[in-house]
Amino acid sequence: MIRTRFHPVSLGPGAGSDDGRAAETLLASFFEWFGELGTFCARLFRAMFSPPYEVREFIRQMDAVGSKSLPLVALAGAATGVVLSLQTRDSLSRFGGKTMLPAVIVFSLLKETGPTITGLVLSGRVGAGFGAELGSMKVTEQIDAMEASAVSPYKFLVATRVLACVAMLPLLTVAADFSGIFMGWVATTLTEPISLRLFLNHGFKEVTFGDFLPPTFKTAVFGLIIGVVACFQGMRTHGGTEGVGRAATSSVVLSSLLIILADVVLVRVIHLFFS
Amino acid sequence: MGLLQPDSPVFVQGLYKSFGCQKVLNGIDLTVSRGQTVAVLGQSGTGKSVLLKLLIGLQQPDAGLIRIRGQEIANLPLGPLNELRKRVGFLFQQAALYDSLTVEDNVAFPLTQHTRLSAVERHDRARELLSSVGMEQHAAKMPSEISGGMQKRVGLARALGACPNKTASSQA
Repeated sequence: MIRTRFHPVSLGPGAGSDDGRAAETLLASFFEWFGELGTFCARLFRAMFSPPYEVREFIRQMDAVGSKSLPLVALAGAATGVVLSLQTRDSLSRFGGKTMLPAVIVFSLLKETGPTITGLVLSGRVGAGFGAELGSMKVTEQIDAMEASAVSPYKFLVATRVLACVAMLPLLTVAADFSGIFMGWVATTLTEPISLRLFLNHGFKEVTFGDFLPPTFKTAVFGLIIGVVACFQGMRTHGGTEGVGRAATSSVVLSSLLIILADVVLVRVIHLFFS
Repeated sequence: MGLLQPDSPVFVQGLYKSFGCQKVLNGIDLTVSRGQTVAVLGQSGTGKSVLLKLLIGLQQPDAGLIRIRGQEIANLPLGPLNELRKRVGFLFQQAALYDSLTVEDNVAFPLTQHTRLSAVERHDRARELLSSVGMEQHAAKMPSEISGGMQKRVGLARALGACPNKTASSQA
């Protein structure tokens, strides 16, 4: 039988009041965050590409990310389609280009609005979900329990979630595009009746695969961002339920911000290679 | 503690662990012989759970030697470390059941991951383990639907599931 020793430590008065030290600590934690992210990504990619593969868990996550997000994404796409129709009609009428309305709606949704809306909606729903779920597992020692069972949490929990996001984002984007275009037609035809066939003919007359495929597949990068950021924030959670809340919030904020920034780069890349 | 025996299945020497400024383990020595039962006593916050987590490599020591079945834990790659973990049953203080799985699936989890048992065999083995802790009638429930004490019993069944050579239990 052994007895461990207890060494209480107390902070002295005025601890942490030094501004210089606070700035130093902030800078250190900033670099620490990037260092941890690098280590996390290395572990994640090692887990992703080494057997055994967690196929069943991957399918379960695709269902959680894909089919369960479908109504939300479709609704967001539909609302965007309606707003585009109402706003653009007014602008185009002023310049005498009302006949271009279907093409403007279709191009806008396919090339930018559909992918971005899908990415942002998913960063809210899935990002918060992953951050809170993994954060909760972390603070209740479920992740430790998994490691103690000789199961890699990076393989079982993280890789499956990240891959599910990468796989599902492009498919959900197609759903958002479809519902947006359909509701764009509904909004248009309520103001000025036009058949769906004519609307689609006008809308898709100039559309090529180059207008559709690259913007749709760029959302795989959005999926990677959402998955990595949310899982990373979840896996580094500490500080009980408050920490879980922080993990969920930071997952959404960071992934949304990074999606918007990545979009800038990806649009430029698409213009370089597909225009 | 007695005399240190380096060839013991569990051998710990000069173990140190701190969290920031707080030292929780300060030069711990420990040997556990085959068949021996050891209880570690101490006030809350003195590092009993940390000691157990260090023993299976869930945390890294600041200094000191940990040797399990002759293998030094600190430098062990993940593969051999996982092989060693499969031989250890670990019961966490709060049971740490996976809250997205049913009680039965929790117990069957190590079997699903590490054995080639069929679904029926896993089910039977999980029921047998749950029966051994008096929890077989709660197999279909989620962890949130059972009490804390019952969760610990399920945690014990899970820890015993992979037929461990050693069982480590962290209790308040």
